[in-house]
Amino acid sequence: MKLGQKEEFEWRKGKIRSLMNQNGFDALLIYSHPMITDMWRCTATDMVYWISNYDLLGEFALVVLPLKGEEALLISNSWDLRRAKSKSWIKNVKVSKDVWKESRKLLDELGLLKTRIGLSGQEFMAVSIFETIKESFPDEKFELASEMTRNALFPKSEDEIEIYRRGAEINEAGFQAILEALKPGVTDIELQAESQYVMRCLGAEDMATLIGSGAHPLAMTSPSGRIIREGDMLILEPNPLYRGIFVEICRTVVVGKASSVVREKFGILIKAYEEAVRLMKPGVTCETLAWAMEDVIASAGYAEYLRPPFSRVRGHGDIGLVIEGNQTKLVPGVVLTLHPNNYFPETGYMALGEPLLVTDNGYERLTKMPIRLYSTEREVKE
Amino acid sequence: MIFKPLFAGYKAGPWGWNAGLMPVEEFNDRLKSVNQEMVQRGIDALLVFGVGDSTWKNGNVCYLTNGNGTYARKSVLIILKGIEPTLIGNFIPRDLHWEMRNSTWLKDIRIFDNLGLGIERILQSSGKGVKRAGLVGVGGLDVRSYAQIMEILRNINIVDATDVIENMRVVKSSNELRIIEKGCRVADMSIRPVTGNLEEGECEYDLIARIDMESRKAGARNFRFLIASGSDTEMSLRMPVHRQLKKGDTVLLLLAFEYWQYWVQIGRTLTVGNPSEGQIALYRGVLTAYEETLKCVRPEMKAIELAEAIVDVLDRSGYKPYLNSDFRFGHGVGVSIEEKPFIDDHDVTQLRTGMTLAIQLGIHAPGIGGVLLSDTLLLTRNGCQRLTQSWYDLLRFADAKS
Repeated sequence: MKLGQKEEFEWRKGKIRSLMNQNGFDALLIYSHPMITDMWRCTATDMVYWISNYDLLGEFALVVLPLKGEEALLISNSWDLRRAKSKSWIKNVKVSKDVWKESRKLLDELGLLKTRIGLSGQEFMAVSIFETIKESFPDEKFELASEMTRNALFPKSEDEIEIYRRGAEINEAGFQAILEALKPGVTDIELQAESQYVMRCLGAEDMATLIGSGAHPLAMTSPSGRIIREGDMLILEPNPLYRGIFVEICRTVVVGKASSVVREKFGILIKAYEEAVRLMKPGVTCETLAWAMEDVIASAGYAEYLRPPFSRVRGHGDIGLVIEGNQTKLVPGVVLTLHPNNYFPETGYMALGEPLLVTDNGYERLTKMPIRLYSTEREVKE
Repeated sequence: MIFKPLFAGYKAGPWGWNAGLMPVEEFNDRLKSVNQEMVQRGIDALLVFGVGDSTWKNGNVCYLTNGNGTYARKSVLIILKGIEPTLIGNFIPRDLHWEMRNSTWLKDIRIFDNLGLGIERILQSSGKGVKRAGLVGVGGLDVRSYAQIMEILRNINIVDATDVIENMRVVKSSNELRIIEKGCRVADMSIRPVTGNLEEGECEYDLIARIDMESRKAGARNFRFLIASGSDTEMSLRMPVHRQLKKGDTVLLLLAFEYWQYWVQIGRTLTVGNPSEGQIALYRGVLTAYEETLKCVRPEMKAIELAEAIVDVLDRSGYKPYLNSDFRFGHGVGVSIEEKPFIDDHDVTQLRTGMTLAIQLGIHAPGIGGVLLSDTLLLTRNGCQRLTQSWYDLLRFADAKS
């Protein structure tokens, strides 16, 4: 399957435009800032990348999307113009030192200055940028439209689901690389290096690899140069970014032989995960999934370890966090990452999770990785 | 106010700071200088804002706390006269504030999701009637937090004091220099297996992955890069793509490595197979200009004057027409990947002895091809000293074969 075709662009653009129509917007400015081209991409899709296929390098990128008429991509770095032109689905690419003034000119030419204009990406904007916008648009007022734009991220297109599948394969390869290199005496940074090497060669654009380790790990952390010892437990997330989508898969690995306590506690996580996916189908709220997982963990006697600082959200996706209070309902085509990750006083923090696609009458896994506790001893045997 | 590490002998790894490399005295000195500056400017409270999830976006907070900025997405260091500073932040995930406690010299770290509320509490409980507050880096905050904080500070006279910290950061101490020099060794080590060893058929991804792996094994905690390869029309820097390297290609690499939270930068030009005569001629021309550029660096000149001098050099060697309108010939390096001074057409910061600069000269244009050279420099009394020492390989490679 070939990804990134013109039809995909038209499909994505059509989705945003129909949302604009529903919300009464005549034009939309979509902003991207280097701030979200970092770890932030885990939790927030870069909307400029999503709509234009241009991944920002440099300082600013802005997409001007009128309800009717030709869209444009404005970038601030002249040296990146050639790449932007060849990569962007949007044909009209312009470079300008002041993208806001340029966008005003464009809107003026389209006769849209006096209409309702939405601004997307304000959550990444610094105050100083707001000041610049005020200077460039002295008489106009924008309405904040980030939430609306994010609603275009689901349901996923066939292309996007394919990207998820490939991303999951890259993730699995990164995980396998860690398993192969894992032995007492290596540092977690070396493990990170091995897995990132493999993932980058397979086409990962960026990585937010997290490796927590220790006899009693407390949290997922970035690698710290810690030396891995026999009996340690590793909580892993290779987290590659592939074509603008972060695919998060978490697993737990024991260095050596997993003790019966560790196996038992990990069994709670597996049960929590299975309980949640059993409920997963359109119409179910995110909250219900969180409760399903937490019920299992609580009934095993760990109710007091369900909340920070011990444990956190039970998953995330474009429709929000899988957390108590989120009553957003699942619809077909949503991808949701579920992870019952929890801290157990006997073993430390353990992780298990992966993205799942909501289908018309249930769910579909996007990776083939087995759902189990890994241990180096067992991997050797196999 | 004297700080002691919470856990004596705690080795945080490259993720945190290391007491051996950066002694606590240095941090007490930094805070002392901040206090002096506050007295001079008549500021009762200094609020240092850190925004983002990387050390280089939190440079000011990292610099003053000995801590790692990646633990909080938003944080404020509150410095009041005569009291130990307090760091507040919305630590996400919240358990990581334990790690923060381990990596910093500070004792007082508190979690507040609402920074405005946190600032109010700290200012009130200190019992000091704050009349005049200096803000550092407040422009990076998002609008909602900014509005909240301004509401809290509405009865206080506010001044922008960003330059207090930025001016302190530009000149590096001997401890900082030691780390940066080691970082430059990491850069040299990471690039060495690649130079002179490019193979046909290798992907851009593979090449970057190799450097990534080398650098992490050499001790780098973070690695950022730009690459360009191919014919003369494909010479603008970008993220690596799935392009296979072909015989005769020029490859430009601009790499930055983070070692113990300090950044260094290096840039080199390579060829796949023997370079053509055209490539050699262009490379020699740009290298000569680059070496002349290094001779232009003098302390006591302004950043913009250095930029002008470099434009002059390029004019004399005939490369001026290939300059982009938004050229930048370099920038400071330190806790931030790019920091003051910026060698461009509007920064008037004065260069000073002890600054570390990443200088970069790139010529890439259709019709002529591409060359990129970059090094991390230390400004000395007489000029500059190159800290990254990798050989300029294309030339050596060419000489050996011709």
